[in-house]
This record gives sequence, structure tokens and C-alpha cells, in this order.
Amino acid sequence: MELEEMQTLWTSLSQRIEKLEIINNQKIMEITQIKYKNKFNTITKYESIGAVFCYFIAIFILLNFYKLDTWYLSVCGVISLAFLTIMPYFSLGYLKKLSNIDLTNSTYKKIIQQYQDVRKKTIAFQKWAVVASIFMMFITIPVADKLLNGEDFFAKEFDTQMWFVIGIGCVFVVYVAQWGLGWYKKITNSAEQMLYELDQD
Amino acid sequence: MQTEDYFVKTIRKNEGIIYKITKVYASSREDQKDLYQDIIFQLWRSFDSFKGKSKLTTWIYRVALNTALAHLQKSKRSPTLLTDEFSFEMLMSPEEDKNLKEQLEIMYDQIRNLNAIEKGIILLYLEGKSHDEIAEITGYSNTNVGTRIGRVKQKLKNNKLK
Repeated sequence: MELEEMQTLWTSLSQRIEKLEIINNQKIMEITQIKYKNKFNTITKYESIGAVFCYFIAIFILLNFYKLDTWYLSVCGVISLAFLTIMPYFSLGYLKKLSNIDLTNSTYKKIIQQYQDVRKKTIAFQKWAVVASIFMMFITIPVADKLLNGEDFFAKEFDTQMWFVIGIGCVFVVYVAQWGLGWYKKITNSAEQMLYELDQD
Repeated sequence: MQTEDYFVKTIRKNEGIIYKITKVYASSREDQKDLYQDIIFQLWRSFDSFKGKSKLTTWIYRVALNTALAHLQKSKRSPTLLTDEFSFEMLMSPEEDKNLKEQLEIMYDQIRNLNAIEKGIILLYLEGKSHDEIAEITGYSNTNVGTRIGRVKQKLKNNKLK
């Protein structure tokens, strides 16, 4: 169908629609009363729970920081603290940016650009987060070992059981990271298609 | 109460515009109802802040298209208040030309296959908007609008030849 044919059809459609009542007054008022549920509510809820959990652990490390009595354990402690505070900040920040895009005062062009921008940053963040969480596991184990068991992980002799625990830990972290990545993908999948279309432009 | 009445009148007057936008941007009936609801809600939310700098219809097109665009990102539907009867095709009388319905579906499909920018621009073009008005609503320059319309024309012509 060519554009001119479409135009004729569209005009005919418009004329017919004008004569019909698609929605009544009462329904319009009911819609205005909806307590609007933001589409990012679910993921934001999980991210917020995660953030509270991270900050809770960060406070625990901070309060017990004096127990990290060697320079290398202190370094691990500082990195853990940084990770636990920065990660939730960025992940919630991107979600906030997505949900705060102003649909009523922006133009179509600006909205597309904003989605593109947030999407690019989110993808970069996702990739970084997966690698960082695996790295972080190796950083937090010595900190947790010291704070919970009072032992210096680096001075320990590694037996089979220890390697087994580390192995299980690695699998667990990869699983959790993949799960988190899955959530992000879920909310941005359709955006991906749209941005792909834009890239083709 | 006055604002509410004015809002209802505004929506009633422009319900066709919203309907056509939802038809182009939504992939299923449920999706369409959800988008229709979203658009009305967004319009209501910002109705007080509309200062009349542009024409009321320009503002409606802008909010509706932006909401439709945001809707493409949405994976979860809100509970709908609209009834099952919500469909222009269902509102058409049985004796309406079957051929027209088929033609409309072909047209919707072709528009849905365009990319997000083209979809918005072509919809406004079909609504009979001038390049200037399309530029004002979408934020693209007048020249850019012209170029994109030309590109879509070519695309549709090529599809027809295939």
C-alpha cells in the first residue's frame, strides 16, 4: 500500500470514528482516578530491597572496620564498602531516570534520545555489574571471614573443603548476577527493539 | 469540577485521535486498551499545566505520541477499566464493508512495521498535519520531517513492488 492510498483510507477512517462514541464520560473520569502504577514499580521494589540489604551490610562493615587489622584486609573492606554503596546508587538511579522521563513536556525526539541515552548507560552498567560481582566475591570473602569468624583468610591454609566452598560461592554469585541481568533485560527488551530500529535509521 | 468537565469534553472531542494512535502503537486489543488508558491518564496528569502556548490538539498529539513511545518499553500491563467492546472495528455495523476492515488492517500493519520515528511522523502526516505542525509536535526540523516522509514513501513503494 502506498502513502497516497493510506491517506485516503485514513481520511475515511477518521470520518467514521468521529461519528462514534469510543469512551464515555464516566470511564474517562474513572481513568483519571486510577492510582497510577508505574511500570518500573516491580523492578524498583526488588532493587530497593537489594539496596537496603547492601546498605545494611555496609553499615555492619563500617561499625566493625577496626577488626580489619591488616592493610590488605582494610583495602578489601574499603573496596567492599565502596561497592555496596555505589552499586545500588547507580542501579536505582538508572531506574529513576527511566521512570522520570517527562512525557508531557518533552518532544518525541527528546524522549527517543533520553531512552537511547539511559539504555546505553544501563547496558554498560549491566556488563560492568556482572564482572564486578564476581570480583567482589573474592574481595568480600576475606572481609566476611575476618568479621564473622575472626580469621585471616590470606593466612589460612587452603584445604579441599575451602576450595569447595569457594567453588560453590562462585556458582552462586554467577547465578545471582545472571538473575539480576535477566531482570534488567526484561524491562528493557522492548526498548532494545525500538532502539535497534532507530539505529537502522 | 469545572476542570474535570472541561477535561472530559476535551477527551470526548479528541477521542478519535487517541484511538488511532493506540491502534498504530499497540500490538493487541488488550495492549491498545492499556495504552488508551495510559494516554488519558497522562493527559489528565498534565492538564492543569497546559498553558495554551501551543494549540490544544498539538499538545494532545504530543502527550499521546510520547506516551505511546514510552508504552513500547512497557512489559507489564495495568488493569484496564475499558470494556471488551472497546474497538472501532467492533463498533462498525455488521454490514460495513468487510473489505474496508481488511484494508485497515493492512494499513495498520504497514505503519507498525515502520521504526519509532517514522511511525510518529507518518501518523501525523496521515492526520493531515503540515510539515511545520509535525515539526512542532515531534521536535524534528521541518527539513528532517520532509526527508523522513520521502523515505517512508519510498519504503512503502518498495514493499509494494516486492
